[in-house]
Amino acid sequence: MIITLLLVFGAISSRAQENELMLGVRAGHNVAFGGFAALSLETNLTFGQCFNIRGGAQYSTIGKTTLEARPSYVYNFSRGSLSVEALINYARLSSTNNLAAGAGIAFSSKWVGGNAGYYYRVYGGAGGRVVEPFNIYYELYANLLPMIDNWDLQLVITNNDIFELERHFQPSFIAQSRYYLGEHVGLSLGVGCKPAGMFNMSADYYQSYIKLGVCYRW
Amino acid sequence: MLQMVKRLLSIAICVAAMSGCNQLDLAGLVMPTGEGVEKRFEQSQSMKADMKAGVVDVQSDYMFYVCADPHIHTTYNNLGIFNNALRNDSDAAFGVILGDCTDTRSNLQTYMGAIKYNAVQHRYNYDIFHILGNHDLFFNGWVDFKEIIGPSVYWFEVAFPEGKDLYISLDTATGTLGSKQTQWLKSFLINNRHAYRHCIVLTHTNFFYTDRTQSSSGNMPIEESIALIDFLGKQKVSLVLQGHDHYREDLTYDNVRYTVIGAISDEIEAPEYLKVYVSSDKVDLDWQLIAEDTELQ
Repeated sequence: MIITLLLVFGAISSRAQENELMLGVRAGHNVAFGGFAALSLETNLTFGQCFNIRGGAQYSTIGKTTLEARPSYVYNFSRGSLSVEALINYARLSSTNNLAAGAGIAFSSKWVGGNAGYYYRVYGGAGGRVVEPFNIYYELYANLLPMIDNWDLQLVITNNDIFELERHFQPSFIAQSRYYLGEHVGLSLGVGCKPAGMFNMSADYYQSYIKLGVCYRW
Repeated sequence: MLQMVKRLLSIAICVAAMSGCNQLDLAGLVMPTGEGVEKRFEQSQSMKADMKAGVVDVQSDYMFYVCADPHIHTTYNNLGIFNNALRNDSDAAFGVILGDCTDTRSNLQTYMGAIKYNAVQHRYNYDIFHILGNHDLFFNGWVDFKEIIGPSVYWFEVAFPEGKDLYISLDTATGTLGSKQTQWLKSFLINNRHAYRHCIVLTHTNFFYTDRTQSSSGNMPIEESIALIDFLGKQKVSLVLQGHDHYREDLTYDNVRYTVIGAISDEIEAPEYLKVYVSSDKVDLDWQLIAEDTELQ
């Protein structure tokens, strides 16, 4: 909650060059929990030339609340940008608290982008504590319509889609698009699926979802 | 982290090489190469009435043998040693093999030969319960497994004069329980757990990812793992026996003991198996290492 308030406050008060706030809903099916829906608030804020923070909060009907923040230092060059980022993800599912912290690098260009890094996860509750010290996060995406200013279409493979920080052998496959109706207001639409058992070499269906969002940028 | 990346790369190269020899089923990286877990659960349900695999009669304190990941290919020295020890031990009640019985589909008959009862060599014809592993599914291996061994999801009782213990075999070979198995497990334990002294869960895929040994294989998605350990804790499960990782792990979470048994395959550096002693107030583990030069008699 504190992270969310800070991000929202930051969004309102910042004099950043390009900022975005998005209200999103996600609906889907998961083999462990059945049908689910989730409501999220996401922000992406830029401070000056070099600093950026993205993150937000999500509540899902599977009984999970997630907060995430990724501050980064960005180096812009002629063909794109390279950044160093930190990652903090907190989730509460049922009676279990799940905290992950990490760091990595991200890059973006006209056609492709992605990130890669390391994170450390600890989860538990009254019953004890479990540490997962050796996780890698990664994302690779392709921009299919880089020539159109107000329309993005991306294909993504990632284990760190926002609010879903997975073990490294558990990637999601996502197709997502964002269309800006005017200078400030846009719509986003995405579909994703997450198989289980890929690294067992016996993959199976685990989860699929659709996500919709309304964005405001300034 | 660099070490981990190197390890992943070397595994990727080995995987590519081995897929050329029909050992690793690369198609399984992206889709089920046979029936998915929902179908396997349905078929398991139809194979046994109430999914009950049987009753083992014992005294109230008893012991059983368990091993994991024999990965039978052409040789079965270590699994043979396990089989001989089990079948000549008057204190044992039964045996359990926690999946990856074979390295790939065509080796199931060799595996069955390794664990068979031989009246000349063995004193006791104990039951051995088999768990399905991901390697057992390579190249649609489920077709052979269900025909020769049987269901992947089942339960059995160990009955003694004062009561009984419950054992549940889960199908986690594709990294998830799936919808139907999850619902069945929840309903079955909520309705039946109170009738048993101990409940012991048997699974191939391990739930936790606490060290670097797991980089070559996968667990379940994190949300499913957390939901499962939360539920097993509430149901006061005594012990969860797991394989898949090839390295020993033993931790207790929410009063449930989660134990991963290292592999018993002939290729592994430190093959091992486990004797589990069950009594009224506790479950004790006695690790058995197979010395490097021990040969099957």
